[in-house]
Amino acid sequence: MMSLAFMRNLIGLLTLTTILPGAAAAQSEGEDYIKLLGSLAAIASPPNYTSIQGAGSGGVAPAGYVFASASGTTDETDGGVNGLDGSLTLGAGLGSFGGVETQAVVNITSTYPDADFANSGSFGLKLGTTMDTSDQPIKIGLSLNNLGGWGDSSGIDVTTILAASSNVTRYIANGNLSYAWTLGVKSTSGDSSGFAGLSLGLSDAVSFSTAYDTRLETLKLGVGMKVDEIISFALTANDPFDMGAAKGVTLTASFASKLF
Amino acid sequence: MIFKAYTLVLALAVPGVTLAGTVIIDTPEPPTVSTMVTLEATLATVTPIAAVGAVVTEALETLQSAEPGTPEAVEAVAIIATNIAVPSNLTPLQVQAAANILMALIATTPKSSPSRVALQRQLSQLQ
Repeated sequence: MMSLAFMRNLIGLLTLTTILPGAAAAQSEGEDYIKLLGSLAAIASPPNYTSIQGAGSGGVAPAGYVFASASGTTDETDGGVNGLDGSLTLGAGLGSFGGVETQAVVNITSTYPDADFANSGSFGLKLGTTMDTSDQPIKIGLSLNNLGGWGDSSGIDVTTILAASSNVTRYIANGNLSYAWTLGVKSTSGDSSGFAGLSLGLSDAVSFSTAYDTRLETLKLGVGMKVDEIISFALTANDPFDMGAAKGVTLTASFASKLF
Repeated sequence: MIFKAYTLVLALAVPGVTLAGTVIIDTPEPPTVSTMVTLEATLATVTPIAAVGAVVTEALETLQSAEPGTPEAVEAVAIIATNIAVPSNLTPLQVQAAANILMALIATTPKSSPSRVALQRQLSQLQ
């Protein structure tokens, strides 16, 4: 069986034959030309920043990328103190194995710095691949959360999330329009729900997003802000329209950088 | 750096309060990833074009070290773009899409750059 990497190389080779002067024509010659031109434009003029809050994505951190996110929320979850809750996630992209990208994370759910820090938490694994299309590539990811929990997080059922997402930039006469979307399903102990999210890039550093969860039947609204290429923040309003879920605000700070 | 980000969010969101409980994070994708992946994919696609000349080879080398969006990257992209053969059988929609992208490239390329003229020529041919 041909690996995904081999298929990607094959597609890349076919692409080249269409763009090189004098090369044989191919069915998707025009599409490939537009895609390549779009990619070059994205390097010359990077797309606006997009970030979806409140919904999982299909993206997997590339090999050697490490990231950390810290969140605090006021919503009425089943943990926390005085209506406040928080957690910390550390992760890294481990690279491709048989054409499947992998990412490992550690979720720390007890985050009081001096007393119970890291007394409870769990591991997670994400597998993903990128599907080439005639338009923008679609990233597909399978997340397995709550693997091997400890402390208060031990014994929690594994949550499986399958998501597809894509970042899209359309060039128009006066500039570009950048947006990202995600669609997926989440399942814990046979209890499944769907989710969808959409983000609109407002500038090269600020984005707006909305997400919907079919189980909670609520919307989340978020604003993402990229400070630089390493640090970003996100502010999410949970159930701002009082649709019946836990209301509150979540602030997340994220760090991401290629370290190895 | 990790400690700095963590400390900052605690200071803003949960001063002096014990934190424990549910995982609430949907970890955002690293901001740099999309651009990096685009760059790597583009280089992988374009690199064999280097066979057409030293100018493109040099532009590709520049792209591998230049930060996206910098004048160096803009110039290198313009050089590469003008060395890509325009397919003759584009649909009207594809012509419009390509024209929009070329206009975006022209807008980012300095007026003094010879590549800007080449891009404008390519746009004229396209239309």
